[in-house]
Amino acid sequence: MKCVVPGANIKVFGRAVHSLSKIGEELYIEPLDHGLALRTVNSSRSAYACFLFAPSFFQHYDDGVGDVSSQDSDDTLRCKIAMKSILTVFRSLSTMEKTVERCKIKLNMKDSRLVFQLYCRHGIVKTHNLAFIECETLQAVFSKDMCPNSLTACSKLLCDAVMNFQNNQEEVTLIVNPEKIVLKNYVEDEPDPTKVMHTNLSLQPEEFDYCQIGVDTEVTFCLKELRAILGFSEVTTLPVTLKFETAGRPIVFSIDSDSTFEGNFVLATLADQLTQSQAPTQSRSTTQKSRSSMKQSRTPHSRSTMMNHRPGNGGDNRSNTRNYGQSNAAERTDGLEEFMNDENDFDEMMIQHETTINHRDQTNIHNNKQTIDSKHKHSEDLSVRSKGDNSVVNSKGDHSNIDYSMEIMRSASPTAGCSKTNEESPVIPILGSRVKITDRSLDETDITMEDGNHGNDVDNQDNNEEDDEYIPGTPPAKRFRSLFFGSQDLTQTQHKASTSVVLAADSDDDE
Amino acid sequence: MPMALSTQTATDDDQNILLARIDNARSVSNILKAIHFKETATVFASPMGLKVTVEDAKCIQANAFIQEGIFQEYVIKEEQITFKINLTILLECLTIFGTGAVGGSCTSLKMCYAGYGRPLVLMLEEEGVLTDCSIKTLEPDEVLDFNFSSTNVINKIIMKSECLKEAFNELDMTSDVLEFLMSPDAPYLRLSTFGNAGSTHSDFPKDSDMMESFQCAQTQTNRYKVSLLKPSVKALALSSRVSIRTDNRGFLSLQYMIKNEDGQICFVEYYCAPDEDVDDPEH
Amino acid sequence: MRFRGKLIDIACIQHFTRVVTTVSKIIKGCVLRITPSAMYFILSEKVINGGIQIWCELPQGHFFDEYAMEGVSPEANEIYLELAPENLVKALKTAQIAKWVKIKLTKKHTPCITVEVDLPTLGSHSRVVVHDIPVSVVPRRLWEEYQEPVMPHYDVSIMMPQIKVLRSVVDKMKNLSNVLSLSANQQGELRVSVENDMVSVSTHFEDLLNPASSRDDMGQNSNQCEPDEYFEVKIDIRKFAQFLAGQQVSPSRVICNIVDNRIVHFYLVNDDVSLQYFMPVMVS
Repeated sequence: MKCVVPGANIKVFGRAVHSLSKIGEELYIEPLDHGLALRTVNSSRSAYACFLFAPSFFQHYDDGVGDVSSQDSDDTLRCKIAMKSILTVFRSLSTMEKTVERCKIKLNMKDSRLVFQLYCRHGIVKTHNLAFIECETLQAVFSKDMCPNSLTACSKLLCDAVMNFQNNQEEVTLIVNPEKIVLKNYVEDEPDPTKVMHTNLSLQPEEFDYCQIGVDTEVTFCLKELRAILGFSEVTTLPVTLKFETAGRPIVFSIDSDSTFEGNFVLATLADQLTQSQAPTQSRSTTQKSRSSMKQSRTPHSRSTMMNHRPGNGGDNRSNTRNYGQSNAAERTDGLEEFMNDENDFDEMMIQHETTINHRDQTNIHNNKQTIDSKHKHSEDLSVRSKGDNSVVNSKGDHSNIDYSMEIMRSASPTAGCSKTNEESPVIPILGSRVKITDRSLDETDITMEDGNHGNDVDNQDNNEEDDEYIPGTPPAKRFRSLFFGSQDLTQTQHKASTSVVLAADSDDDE
Repeated sequence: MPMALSTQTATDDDQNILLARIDNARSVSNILKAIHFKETATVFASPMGLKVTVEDAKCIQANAFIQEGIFQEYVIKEEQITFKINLTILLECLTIFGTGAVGGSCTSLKMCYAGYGRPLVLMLEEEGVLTDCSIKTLEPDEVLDFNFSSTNVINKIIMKSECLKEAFNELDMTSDVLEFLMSPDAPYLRLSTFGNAGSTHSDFPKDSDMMESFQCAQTQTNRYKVSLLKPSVKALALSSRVSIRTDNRGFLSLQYMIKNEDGQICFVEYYCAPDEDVDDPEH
Repeated sequence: MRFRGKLIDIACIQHFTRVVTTVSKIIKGCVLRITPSAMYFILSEKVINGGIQIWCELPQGHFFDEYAMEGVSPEANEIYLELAPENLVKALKTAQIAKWVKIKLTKKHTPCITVEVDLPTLGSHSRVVVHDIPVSVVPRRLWEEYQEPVMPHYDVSIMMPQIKVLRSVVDKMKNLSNVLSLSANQQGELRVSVENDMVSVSTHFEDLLNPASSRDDMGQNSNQCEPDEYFEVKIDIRKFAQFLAGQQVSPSRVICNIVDNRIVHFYLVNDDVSLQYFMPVMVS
C-alpha cells in the first residue's frame, strides 16, 4: 500500500482523522481498490464512523493488492493503530495546512510499521513510523438507502442548532414530523429531572436542502458524536444527510463529496419504548410497517398522553386538559399568548408551596419508567420495556425482539444486501437473527449466524435483563444498544469456510 | 530565620550594592521565562550585566544573559554578586501588571539589592500605579561547569528558529530521548524520538533556506533526555535564530538569539549532557 | 402569579446577558425577585457563616420592551424564584444576535423560567429555541430573608481603580497567597497586598475619589480619624479575583466601602443596573 495525499487535501484528511478521534480510540485502516477506508468504533460500540477516500482523492494511490509479498490477492493490509498515534502525525492541522506540501502513507512490512511522511516547506521531511496491529476488518452494515426518514442540511444549519445545547449535554432527541423538525435535549431521570434545564428547538422542513419524513418518530443519540461529525462538515462546508427510522434503530449521518470521499457516521439511538409511546409519535401512513402502526394505535392522542407523564401535572386531570389545550395553542400560535393560560397553574402552584405539598408524589409517575442505573454496564437498555408495554411489544411481530441493530457484513458496498433478507423492515434486525458476513472473495455469500438463545425467547424479553442480548466484550453505554460488528480475522481469510463472526476489536490485545 | 519583609526597604539607594533600572520590565521577564523550568535560579551580577542560571538533574543548565546595556541605569558596587532566588515568584512580580504584549503601556522596573542576606527589592510602575515587592534571597549553590569549549566543537549548525519550533512543539513526550543526528552527509540534521506510537524523524536538509550555517565535520548521533530538552521550547519560541553545537564528548549546546521589544539582542543558552545508556537506535 | 417580559433591542439583550453573567460568575444559586418596576438577583447567605450577600437591581424599563407581571396578591405584588443564574446564561448564549428574547414564568414539567430566543436564519423562517429553566417558587413567609441589605456606617469609602488593572494585579497575587489585604484611606489611596514567607507584594493606587461616606454624615466620627489612616480588611483572594474576573457590566463607578476588619462592600453603579456585593471578611 502506498498513497500520497496532496497538500490541498491534507486538511480534509486530517479533519477526518480528528473527527474519528473524537469517537474511537483505535483507527482501522484498510486500503481497498476503490479507496482508502478509515474507520473507528467507540468503546461502548454505540457509534461507528467510516471515511472512504477514493483514489481520485490522492495524488497517487496503490492499494497494494498484487504486491510481490502477497500471493493471495485477499492478503491486503487490514490494520489498526492507536488514535493517539495517528494524532501525533496530524496534531496541529492549522500548521500542517501551511507547511505540509504532501503526505505519503506507506506500509513498511519489514518492520511492521505504517509510515506517514510529511514533506514540508524548506525541504523538511517528517517521518512517523507507527506501530500497527493487523486485525480483522471493521464494518458495520447499515442501510441508509431504505430509511423512511431522510434529511439533508447544510452544516451551518446543524451547527447553529447544536450550539443551543449545553456543552455538557450528552444526548439529544430529534423529533420529526412533516410539519417540523424538533431537537431537544434528552434528560435522564436521575438525579432530579426537576433540576434540569430543557432546551427545545424547532426547524422548518424548508430550511433543509432535502426533507423526507416517511414516519413520524423521535430518536435520541449522543451529541458528542454529532459534534464530531459537524466539526468535519463545518470545515469542509459539505452538507450532512441524516437517515433514520425509529427509536432504537441507528441513525446514519453521511457526508459525501461527489467522487473524492465520503463519510458515514452510524450512531445507535436510544431504545426506549416508553419514551416513544408517550411522545407525539403518530403514523401518518396506513401502510406503515406493522410495527410502528401497532405502536401508534395505542396512543392515538399522544400529545395528551405526553402531558400525563409530566410530573407537574400527574394527578390532576383538570390541569391536564388545560395544558393539553395550552400546548396545542402554543404550537398553533407559535407560542405567543400562553401567558393567560399559565395563570391558574401558578396560583395552584403557589398554594401547593404555601401548604407544602410534596412534589414528589407527582414525580413518581415520571420516575417509574426508569429504574435502572444509568451508568453503563450491559443490558440497561432493557428497562425500556416496563410492564405496561407488554402488549405493544408482543404485537410487534417476528422481529419484535429487536429494538434496533445494525447488520454486520463485510462487503465493499455496505448498503447492498439488506433488503434481500428481509422484506418487512428496511433494516435487518440483527440480534438473535442473522448476521450476514460476506467475504469479498465469496461473492457475497451469506453466512448466517444463529444466536442459540434468541430465537426462542422472543416473548421472554419483556422481562428485563435479557442475558441473551448481552454480547461479551461489548458493553453498551446507557440504554444504547451497542452496535454489533462483523469482522474477520486475517488468518481466517485463508480458510473461506471458517469465516465467522468475530466481534471487532477491543477483545484484542492492545499492543 | 525569616527575613524582614518590609516594603519600605531600599528607598535609600546608597545602601544598594546593585541597582538596575529599565523602562520595559518585559525585556527582563520574557528572557527569564525562557529558562523557567525550575523553581529557583541563581543570579550572577557583574559589571557586564546579569546572568541567571537554572539547572536540573545535573544534566541540563540554562543561562539567560541580560547585558548591562539593556538597562537604562545599571550600578554595581562589587565585581561579582551572587544569590539564589525563587524564579517563579520573581516572574509573578515582574508581570504583576499583566503580560499584555500590545497594550501600549509598559511597566518600568527598578531593582535593588543591598547585599548578602537582604531581599531583592522590585519597584514597578505602570500608569501611576505602583507595586513594591520584596523577595527573599537565598544562599547560592554551586553551579555546574559543562566545560563546553568551542575548540572541541565537532558539529555546528545555525538555523532560523521557526522550523525547529514546530519540531519541538510536536515532540513525542512518550519517548525518553531526543536523538540528534548531525552529519556532513544525508540526512544532515535529523531529530528522532522513539515513543509508544513508534518512531518519528524530522530531517532538515543542509541546503534548506532555514539553514544559515552548516559546519559538520563528522557524523554524530547523540541522545538527550527529552524531558530535559523540552523546556527549551520556551526559549525557542522567543528566539529568531538558534545555534546547535555538539562537542567531542557529545555534549549539546543550544544558543538562542532573542530580540526584545526594543530591538536589543539577548542570549539564552542551554547545555545538555548526553544520555548515559546509549542503546542502538531503533532504525 | 404571572410574568412575561420581552427584550427586543440587541444592546439590551447583550447588556442583560452581561449582568446575568456577572452574577453567575460570583454565585451558583440565587433568588430572582420580580416586581412591577424591577428585577433583582439576590443572594443572602448568613453573614455568621462568612456568607456572601448580593443585591443586583435591574430597573425593567431599561431592558424590557414588554413587561407584564402579577404577583402573589395585589398587596404582595411580587414574585420570588430560586434559580441558577448559570442556566440563564446558558439560555442566553445564542441570544446575542437574536431578533428578540422572551422571558416568562411557565409551568412545564416543573415551574420554569422559560426563555424563548428568536434566532436569525438564512431565509425568512422563524427559528425559536425554547429553554425551560427549572425554578422553585419561594413561599411568601420566606420573603423577608431577601430584603435589601442595610448599609452599615463605613470607616472609609473609595472609588475603585480601573477594574482591568486591579484584576491583573490580583490574578498574580492569587498565585502567592490565599489572603489579600485590602485597605484604603480618605486621601484617595487604595492598597492591595499579599505576603508569604518568601515575598511581600503591595500595589498602591492613588488619586482615587472618596465619595461622601456615611461616616461624614455622622459628624462626630469623621473628626476622629486622620485622613491618611488606612482601614483594612482581609479577604479571600480567590473570591475577590472571581468577582473581578466575572465583572462584565463595565459600570461607571465601583465603590468600595470598608469597615475596619469587619465588612467590605462593593457597590457597582451604572445607569441601568446596580450591584451590591458584601464579601466575607477573614478575621485575623
